[in-house]
Amino acid sequence: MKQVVCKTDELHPGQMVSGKLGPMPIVVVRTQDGELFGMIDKCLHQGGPLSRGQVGTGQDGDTCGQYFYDGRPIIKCPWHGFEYDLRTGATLFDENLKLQTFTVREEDGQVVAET
Amino acid sequence: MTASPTTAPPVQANVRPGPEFIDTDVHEVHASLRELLPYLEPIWHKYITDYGWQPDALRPHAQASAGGLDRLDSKLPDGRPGGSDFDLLKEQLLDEWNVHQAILTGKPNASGMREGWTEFKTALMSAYNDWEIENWVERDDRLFGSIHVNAWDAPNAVREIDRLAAHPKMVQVMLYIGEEAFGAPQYHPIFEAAERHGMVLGIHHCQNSPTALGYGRYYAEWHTLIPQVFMSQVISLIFNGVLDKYPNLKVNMIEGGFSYVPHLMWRADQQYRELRQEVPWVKRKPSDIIRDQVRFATQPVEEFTGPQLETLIGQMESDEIICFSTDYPHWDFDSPVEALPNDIPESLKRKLYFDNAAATYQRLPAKVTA
Repeated sequence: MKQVVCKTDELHPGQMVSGKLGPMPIVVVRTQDGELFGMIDKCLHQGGPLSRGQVGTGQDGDTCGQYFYDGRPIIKCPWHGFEYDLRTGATLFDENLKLQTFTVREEDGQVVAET
Repeated sequence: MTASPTTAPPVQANVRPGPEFIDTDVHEVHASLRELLPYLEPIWHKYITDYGWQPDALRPHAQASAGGLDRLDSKLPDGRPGGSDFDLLKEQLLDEWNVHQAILTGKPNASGMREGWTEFKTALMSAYNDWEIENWVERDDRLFGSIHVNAWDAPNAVREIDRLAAHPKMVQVMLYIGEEAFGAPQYHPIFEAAERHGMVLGIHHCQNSPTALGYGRYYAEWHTLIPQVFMSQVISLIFNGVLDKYPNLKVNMIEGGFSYVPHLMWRADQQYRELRQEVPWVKRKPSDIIRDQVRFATQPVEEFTGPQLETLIGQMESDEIICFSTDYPHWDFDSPVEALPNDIPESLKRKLYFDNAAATYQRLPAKVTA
């Protein structure tokens, strides 16, 4: 299955857009580095729309009070804050809890998602 | 994480009717205190316009959710907070879900602040109530209001309740929790007024509600322990005799969940049996008092399986004390179709989502069925 999501110049770094891939609501993200990712636009928790949330970089820490960015591109649910690794669809707190991801690429000036 | 702008278009409202429900916790807010000025006696204006008064906020941490206090998608593009725009609240709550009635619970009020500047806060509560009625309660048939009072000023709190009780859509007297237990005698006139007018006493936590050991170093600590302050208030009302003194008063404990209730019932009953002579004015078993007079709004609900929820309710020995709530527009909003397990009996579901609140809030118009 393949679906045009938007024009290439409509999705800038750090932005995202929602769409449909068949019957499935999807969110497509272009990270600050320019990489494209796509996943189901419905949080596994209570169904919050991820496309109304935030994209950014995962935060980690090894000792109490220490914070650093770990480089993982993430999307964060606008409701309860579940964070998903855009590369794998896995939540940051449980790598076995995953949303389905899709291949997203640019094709003839368009952003295309496909399974 | 680094925040970044999004270009996501507004999500179209899904047709997700879910169960019909009465929402016992919906937060309408003013984006600025200046919105209250038309409703506030002029003598107090300068303390907002010139002197910059702000409510005290004792909790020291930021909320590390995507939208801070609010669901990110409930905030307005111009920066106004969730719950400050009637049309958006209508779209995201009243029209998106199968809401029959919704009870407005507002912002943390003077009862949850520290003592002081009492006369100003009392006047501000009156202004807030008039603003709430004009801008929310009277704009949609499904919205019902709470009377916010300054519990530090009980005589004037009673006057405020008496002033607004004639309004048919005001159904609750609202106290936010600060650092005081409400069972103390100075608060009793407020409870008498609530009972006299058939209003529910709504008790809600806020950023000034501590845990048993302060506020914790991290928000996650504080938010985990929110039920502690509700346990304290329930026990204070029981052992100070409030619920025996006002046997027709109904209390709704709002935004603290409910999984602690069996523990509280068992432990309070045990203390009552062992220490009754200290509190002889308590005439009923605490668990019976709770079952008769105290209700608990669901949100933020723990993530139960159906059997776990049924077990918990069985331990309470009543399926009539839990009332559904969403807490819209806050970040820990509970979805009406996702928060509670679906694999529970339809009869129980109906009680949790609808019947229990309808029986508790007796000033709500009864549903007319064909």
